[in-house]
This record gives sequence, C-alpha cells and structure tokens, in this order.
Amino acid sequence: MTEPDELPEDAGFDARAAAIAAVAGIVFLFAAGALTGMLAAAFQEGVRSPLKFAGIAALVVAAMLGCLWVLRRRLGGLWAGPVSPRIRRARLLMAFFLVIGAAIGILLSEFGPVDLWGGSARELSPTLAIAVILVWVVVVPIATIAWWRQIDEHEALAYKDGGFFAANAYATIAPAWWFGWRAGLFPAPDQIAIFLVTMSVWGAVWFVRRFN
Amino acid sequence: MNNRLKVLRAERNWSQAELALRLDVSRQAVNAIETGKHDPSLPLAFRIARLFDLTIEDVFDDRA
Repeated sequence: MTEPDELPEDAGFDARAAAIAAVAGIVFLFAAGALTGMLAAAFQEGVRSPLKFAGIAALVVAAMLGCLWVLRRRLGGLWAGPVSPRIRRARLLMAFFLVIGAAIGILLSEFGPVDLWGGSARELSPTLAIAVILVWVVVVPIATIAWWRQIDEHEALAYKDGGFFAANAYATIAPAWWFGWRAGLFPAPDQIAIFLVTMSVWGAVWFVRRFN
Repeated sequence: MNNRLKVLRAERNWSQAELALRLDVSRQAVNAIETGKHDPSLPLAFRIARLFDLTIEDVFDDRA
C-alpha cells in the first residue's frame, strides 16, 4: 500500500483519474454558470415559482458539491504531505488562478458570444467589463510573476513545455481558421474560442508534465 | 539519468514529501527525479548531494 504522502515509484499518468477530474471540473463550471444565470435572472425578473426555483437551485448546488467531492477524491492526494513555505505560496497562487479562471469561465458562459444555456446572451455591463479587464491585465500578470518566482524547476519546465505546445496550437489553428474563413469554408475566426483552445492545451500539457 | 535518490531516502526513512520539504521542491519533483522523468539542474543536484553528504557522482550516474 502506498503511503499517503508518497507517490508510487512507477507512477504513470493516471489518464482515467485525470479524465474523471476534468469532467467533474467542467460540470462544476457549467453548474456554477447555470446557478449564476439563475440568480441573475431571479434578481432581474423575479421568481415565478419559488418552490421550483429552490428545487432546481438545490439540485445545481448538489451537483457542484458532488463535483468538488470527485475532484478532492481524484486529485486530493496530489497535494498531501508537508510542503516548504515556497511551495505553499506557489499552491496558494495556483488556487487563486483557479478561482479567477472559474470566475472568467462563468462570465464567458453567461456573456460570451455563444450562450451555453440556450437563451440570448446578455450584454456585459461596462463596469463589470472594466473590473474583469483590470483583474486580467493587472492582477493576473502580477500574480503570475509571483507564482513563477515560487515554483520549483520541475514545475517551471512543465509550464515551459505547456507554452511550447500552446504556441504551436495557436500557430496552427489561427491561420488555418483564417484561410478557411477567407475561402468561405468556415465562419469568421472566433478569438475567444482560439484563446480557450490555446489555454486548454497549455493547461493540459502543464498538468500532465507536472503530475506525471 | 540513473540515480540513488530513492535508496538514499529510504535509508533515512524519509517520505518523498519530507525529502521535498528539505530540498524546497514539490513532492512531484522528487518523484519525477526518482523515476528518472526529470533530470535535476546542477544547483538542485548539488543541493541533493549535500543533503546526503555525498558527491553528485555518488547520487547520479549518467551511464546507462
């Protein structure tokens, strides 16, 4: 039996656990987005049937809690054991990035060009947009530099590898989509979709390299 | 690159997490070095060797 704070010597990347965790993470984000949309609609338009609203909200919250339980079960062991202050700071910053990423993901799902919930996408207020921009162009870069100064060389290499694959994904997708659009084969390039694919590649490679 | 990190660690009854704490790296980094998936930088290799009171050559072996 493997000790809780010890990874097996021949530990390979557990693709099944990673896939389950990824699905749980995506479902969590969708559920959070749905809950945000429900609450926003309730504040703006009122609630016609409070009992039905509460029931659906309870189901969504239960789904979110279930996802968190799955994530903790599948990934909790990765962070077990004592850590040095530097690694602890890096983890805290990573948790901060996850919260920021989740918040941005919820905003994209609510106000993005594609409405994931089947209704019409709402307009993003300038105040909220300015707040998001400030976080994105000021807070996130500062936190990223702080995180970069805390991580160990193994994680730095994982991040660089992710950047390499992400840059190549972007260099492949963006021009191909543009040429296809110019020839009338594809719709106009969606910058947010390309951004999400690029960041997903970066994150996936970082995760595999980091925890493999 | 082959290394004796796991053996040296086991001789001291240290877990990967404890070794990682002493080296100021993550547990995943220790695991990656032990399994040969990550070759440490020269500064980290020196830290590892000094931690065990050995030379780098005593811990790491680049011959297959």
